[in-house]
Amino acid sequence: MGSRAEDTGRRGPWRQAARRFGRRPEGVVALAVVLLLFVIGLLAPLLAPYTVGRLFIELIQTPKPPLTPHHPLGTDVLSRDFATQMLYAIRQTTSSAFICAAGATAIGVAIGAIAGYFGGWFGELSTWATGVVASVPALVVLIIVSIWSRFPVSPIGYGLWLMVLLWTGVARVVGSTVASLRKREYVEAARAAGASNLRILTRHVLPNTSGEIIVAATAVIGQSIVIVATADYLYYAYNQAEKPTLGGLVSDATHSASLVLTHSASLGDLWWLYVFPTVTLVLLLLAVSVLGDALAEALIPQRATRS
Amino acid sequence: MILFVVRRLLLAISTILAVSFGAFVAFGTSFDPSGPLAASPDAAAHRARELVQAHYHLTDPILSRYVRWLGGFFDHGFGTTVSLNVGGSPPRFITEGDPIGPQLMHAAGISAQLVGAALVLVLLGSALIGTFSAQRHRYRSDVGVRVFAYLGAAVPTFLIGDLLARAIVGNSVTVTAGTRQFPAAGSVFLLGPPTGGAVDWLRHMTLPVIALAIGLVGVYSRYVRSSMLVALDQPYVMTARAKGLPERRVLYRHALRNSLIPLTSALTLEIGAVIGASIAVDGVFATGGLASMFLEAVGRSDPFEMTALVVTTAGLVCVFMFVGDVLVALLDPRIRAAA
Repeated sequence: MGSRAEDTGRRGPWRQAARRFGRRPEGVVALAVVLLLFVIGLLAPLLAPYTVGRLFIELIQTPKPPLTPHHPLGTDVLSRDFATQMLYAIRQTTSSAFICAAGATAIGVAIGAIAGYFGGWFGELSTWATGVVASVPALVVLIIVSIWSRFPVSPIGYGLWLMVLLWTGVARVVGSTVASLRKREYVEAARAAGASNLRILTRHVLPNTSGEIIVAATAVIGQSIVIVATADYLYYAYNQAEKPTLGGLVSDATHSASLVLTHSASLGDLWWLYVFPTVTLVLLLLAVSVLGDALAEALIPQRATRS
Repeated sequence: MILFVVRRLLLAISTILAVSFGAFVAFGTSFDPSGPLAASPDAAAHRARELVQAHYHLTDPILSRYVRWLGGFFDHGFGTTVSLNVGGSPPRFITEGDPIGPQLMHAAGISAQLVGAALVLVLLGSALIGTFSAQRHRYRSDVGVRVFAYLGAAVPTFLIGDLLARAIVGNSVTVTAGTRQFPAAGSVFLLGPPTGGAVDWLRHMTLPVIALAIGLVGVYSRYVRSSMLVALDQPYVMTARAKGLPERRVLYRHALRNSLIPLTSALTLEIGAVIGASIAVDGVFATGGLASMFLEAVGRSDPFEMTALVVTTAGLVCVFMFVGDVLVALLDPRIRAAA
């Protein structure tokens, strides 16, 4: 394996991985950005200056730019405080991504591990089922779910729906890794020592796939953020005042100006409504993708690509 | 090779069958298209609703409805939407529902053109940029290209589309299907569906295709780059160079050909996500593909139409996967031999 001399010795694999991760500044920065946005999402109700969706009627038709007194990020065309809207949008995006990643990873690991370890007809069947689920684009299902429920879907609802659809990537990675690990000598040794299949799988094989699992879970976070934002952008519902989303805010910036304002305003006049959600979304996705690459290099050194 | 193709075809058919079953059961049990008739309390509406339910077998057990739908599919395709235009006493249908098939096939065709053109662009673009980057490994141009690749891959497709669409129609406009505005006068590129002819097609489809391709080129050029870096270290490349072949031939004929195989199979695995992204692009540019059908289905809650849409989307995924699998088999003789 590609571990360097200074990594060996008595340090455990996690300590070695943490050292490798710490050597790459961009990975650390990406992790900090992702954690920061997730914490902001978690604490949004505490951080928000106003209740979400509250209208400041005196400001209707005259959206205020950022740094207005009492409204640090300004107000939108419906006179809502934009900082509050942004905080809740981040909360919606990060919480659905977190629920989806946790659930999809659990499903994917279970199916992938059993399929890869036992193979046979269950392996064939789960490969087929993975193909079936992967052949329905998750975006399509989310749009249908939005139509179906006729009101903004809660982040938990989005997370649960995506979890049912996005486990396929995790299952593929775990399945192929487990299939290659089950022929290793240490598995044979454990079996010779009388360990049951369940014990071999959970104690010997799965811990050795934890790097792949973490990297695949990071990829799911990125996918779910993109899909939720796209669905919110496309199936944009006008009454989302109490449930702002990053995709919905981008959509709001393009639609509401011409639908709500009685005087015409170009996007340049209302730039903050477009720039803040867009930049937050791109920053979050960029951080998740850099973090995924840095984690892959730190946790799966044997597969590391040269840079 | 024939055995390989037959196996892949069977896989595709079984996948579409499973999707149709899942979609039909999910939509059939949760949507009741006769619902609007239940809104008015009078007896005539009640009888009309009973007629609609009986005509479309809406109250039968779901399994027998699926079998009926599947049998009907082989007979007359996706059939018609549910018609609620019932009147008279005793109630009878004044008009039939709209046929689903023709409009859906047209939309699927446009989506297929969008995805197909974007995939060709992705294969060419990733191969060229990845090779360029690998050749100039660690030079400044390599680093610059990689930063752009990262950015392109991180920006969601709908946002790229939104920005490009703004370039056509100016800044003060709304750019989504439904509330579409006309592009600025004299614009080369247009929003809306292509209406015929190659020039018109290019004016409508160039920007959507580019919007769809940018993110994918970002992902897969990095993929080509790292597999090219591995390939350029292999003994066969050294042999080719030692034979005195020109560097261009070594790069493109020897190293790149072997890097294209993992690229094509990775792209094939991700086809579902690509078609999902194409729906986002289609929604932004209103090119008249499957997205407009999905967005129009808002509120109609017709299980037959919804099932048809989902089955067609899955069918599109399966067609592209099949083409990808055959391409990989053509590029890699070992896969043909294994089948």
